[in-house]
Amino acid sequence: MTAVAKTQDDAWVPTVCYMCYNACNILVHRVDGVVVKIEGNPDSPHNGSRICAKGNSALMGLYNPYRVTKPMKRTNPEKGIGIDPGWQEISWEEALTTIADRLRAIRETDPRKLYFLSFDTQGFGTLGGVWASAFGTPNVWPGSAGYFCGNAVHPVSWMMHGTFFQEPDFEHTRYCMLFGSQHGVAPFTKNPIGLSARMANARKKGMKLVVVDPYCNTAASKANEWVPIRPGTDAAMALAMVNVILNDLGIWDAEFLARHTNSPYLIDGDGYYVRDAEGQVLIWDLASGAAKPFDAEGADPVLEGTFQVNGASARPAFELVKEHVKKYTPEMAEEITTVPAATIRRLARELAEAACIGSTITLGGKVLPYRPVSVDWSKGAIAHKHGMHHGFAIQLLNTVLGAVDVPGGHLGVSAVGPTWGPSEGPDGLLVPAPRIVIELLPYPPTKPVRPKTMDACELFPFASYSMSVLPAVLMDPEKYGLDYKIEMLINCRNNYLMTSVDPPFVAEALKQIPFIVSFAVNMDETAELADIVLPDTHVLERLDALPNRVYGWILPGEGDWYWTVRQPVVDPPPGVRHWTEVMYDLGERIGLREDLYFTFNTNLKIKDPFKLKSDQVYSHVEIVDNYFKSLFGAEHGVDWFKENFMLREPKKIEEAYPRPFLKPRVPIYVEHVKHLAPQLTKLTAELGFEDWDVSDYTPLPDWLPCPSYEVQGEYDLLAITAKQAFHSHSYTVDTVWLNELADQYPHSKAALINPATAAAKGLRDGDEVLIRTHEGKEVRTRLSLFEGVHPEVVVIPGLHGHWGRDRKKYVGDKGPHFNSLLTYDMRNIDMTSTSFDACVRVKVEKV
Amino acid sequence: MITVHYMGNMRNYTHTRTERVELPPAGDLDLKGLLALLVDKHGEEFESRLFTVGGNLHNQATVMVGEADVSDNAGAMEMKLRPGDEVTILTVTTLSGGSC
Ligand code: SF4
Repeated sequence: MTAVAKTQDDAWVPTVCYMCYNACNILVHRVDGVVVKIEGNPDSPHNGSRICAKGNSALMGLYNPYRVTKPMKRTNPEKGIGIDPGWQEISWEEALTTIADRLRAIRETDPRKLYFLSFDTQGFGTLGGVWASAFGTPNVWPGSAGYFCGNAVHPVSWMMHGTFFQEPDFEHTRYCMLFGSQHGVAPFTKNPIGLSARMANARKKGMKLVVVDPYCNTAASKANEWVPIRPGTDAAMALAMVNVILNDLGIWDAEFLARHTNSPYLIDGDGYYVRDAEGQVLIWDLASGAAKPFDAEGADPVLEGTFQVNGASARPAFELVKEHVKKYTPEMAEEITTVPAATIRRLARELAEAACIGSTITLGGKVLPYRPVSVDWSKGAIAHKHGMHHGFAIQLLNTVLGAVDVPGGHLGVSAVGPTWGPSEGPDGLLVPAPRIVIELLPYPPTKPVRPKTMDACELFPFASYSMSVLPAVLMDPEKYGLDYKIEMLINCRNNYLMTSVDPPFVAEALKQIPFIVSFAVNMDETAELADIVLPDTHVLERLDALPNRVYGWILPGEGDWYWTVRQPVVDPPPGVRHWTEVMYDLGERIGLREDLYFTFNTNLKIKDPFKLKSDQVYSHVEIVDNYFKSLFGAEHGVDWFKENFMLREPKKIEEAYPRPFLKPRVPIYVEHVKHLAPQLTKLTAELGFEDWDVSDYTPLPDWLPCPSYEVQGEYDLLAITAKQAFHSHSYTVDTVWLNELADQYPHSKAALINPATAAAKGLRDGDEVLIRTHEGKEVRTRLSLFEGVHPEVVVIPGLHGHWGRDRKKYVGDKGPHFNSLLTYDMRNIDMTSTSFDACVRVKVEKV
Repeated sequence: MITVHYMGNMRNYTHTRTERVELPPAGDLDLKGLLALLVDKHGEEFESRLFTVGGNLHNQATVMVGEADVSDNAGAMEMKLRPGDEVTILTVTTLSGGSC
């Protein structure tokens, strides 16, 4: 009989998942140094005891025998998709010496020639920004490929809520509409676990859920009503609903609009604010029958009418909104969207009546407006040529009904916290709290100037970022006014090539960079273009400070604030290092310490006595420890967090529902873009662009057609993508368990099409098909018939089709790669938000 | 005399790490006045990293007087500078910032 070894180590370690960006709190069961199980943390306010299939399967990646465990250098100078890099293992010393030598030379000549790319957005993912800033380059992007991420979500959210993101208040909402917002699966701040549970509870309590989407996604399958819509037409439907609400039903929240928005601001005949001699924006005061500054004490602002001010006619912004939407009749919207006019009218009425305008609720001892309607929208609605217009159009529904940051309404995530809150900017409009601002703000905007950065963000002053423009600039920096080229790219936790559109074009753009360093847990498609690959830690081997960042990875509304730690459950394999530690090491080698610590102290607002001192060297753990202690007090260092995992405190009602307590207003009329447009026209003409398109810089949203609407004929279908509950970006597609799961799910690794559409084309379920775009791109895949697809649409879920040489060894992921259908062209980019148009005309043929 | 230090990306606009600024004869220069002098000297691209349209301090910019970060302080721009003061200006690019 074999003796059974006695278990020495048997622990459940609390930490934070990173198989997607939701930052679920998990308990990891470790036995004798081996991870055997992962479960949700029942004490977590974020996700409770629930986790998803991706989180469960994290241990497959941990024990993947194909992990990168040694630094490697490329021996084949030729680069490209499918080309063998000829990897050769090298020592850490050789790798770091090679990299440090190049970094030193770049910093001495022109630090802008370094590009730092990382999708490590949590914990010390901030290191990317801090390290790059200390180095001296503006070329840093700690995000995803950025084509149809939150490009047109964030600018609207910053302006309308003062936050990075926004969610429905499922605790109190009675009527929720989702436009292209994949609750239940979206792996980002839509919290597919905690928020989905709230949504399910709300449904049980009687909330009506209406999902507007070309695809009957997970949320739609749980909804009262799925409204199939033609892709890229959401703005038309939203504006038609606003028209019905304002002009047919005569419903709006006058108190909210007058006190909390710029609705009463007077607009002149040219569309600009009317100002007094001091430059103050004027409103029309009913009591005195005269124009007054918008913030005049005791003024009673009117929302409608025409008034004579400064010798000219002026009208309140709200009146212009009412008039503007009149052209969006439900019948017109039906033609654009395919949603019947009667449905649009009915939904508008249901939504407006459910808003209970005038009603209040008492919470936390405070009487607050109660607006139990929430219209949420996300990437599906805005991943289009005119994405920003879609966002503002849909948000208008919340705004006119007063359902913004009040109980039951549409909530920004963490606009106000224990130590932060928004301020009042120019013209009385809201400026988000600096503490939660993590990207460029649309208001007050950055002045457009000649570009200095490789993503030419200077030419997109209304966008939060402009990563989708990076490949174009890399290919031809001079064209964008840049006097340098990128000489080195450092890439961390980001399969940039696979998550980009048009991989062959983007690979060409990356080939313009002579030296690429990629950190990798597994060899991926981007790493295959690198000159040096460095082994990185798996999520269960990492220490990261505060992965549940308050600006994104925390539930909105009532509940608790919570601060957590991601801690190592097991040691990494010998020779594998957390990329953060490697960057500190490189910083030391190139003499960056003083600047790095200074930037850390300043950017993270580290207080004495925990400030990093440049006469000593800190490890990653020590830096996190100082950061924690500075934020939470000397007793709350790394050891405290490892032991206790979470610091939490209840939110005050002013933090959960801040709008009634805030003075700064939000815009219903985005006047400042009228000033940006001529500046951009002049600047881009000076740069040599003859036709820089500024036509989207309008103060009120419109529906404008995507380029794909122009192409017809045999390309009679629109291809779109959708998320899958068990995959996150390209990151999880190589997880063997999840790959097997995908194999058994008929809607995965396939193109979905409506059975009636298929029948008209003589196609059948399971057919092998070629999907070809009018621009010559194609993918081959299996056809899956599903009634839950708009008849004009092909849905290609997920981001399958890894072509990496190493990945093929163990995954065999044969699914279609949707992004390969998209052609990189500035014509497909929203010139305000930089969203990339993710709907494309295709024809489907049996192979 | 006031010493101004530039960190990180700001050096790409000033082409220097440190410069010294003469106090006006009357001796009364506030922070706003100093930054205006620097904008005059280094141009609109420098200005665009430091201020938004409308004159707010840019959310990616940090200004320190001595050891104190004054970026978030209401009234900091009216702060009178004294001979010997050291002012540091830096920007940190995207998805950083935020201390919680
Ligand atoms: S939703 Fe995301 S963070 Fe949560 S368990 Fe699943 S993969 Fe992990």
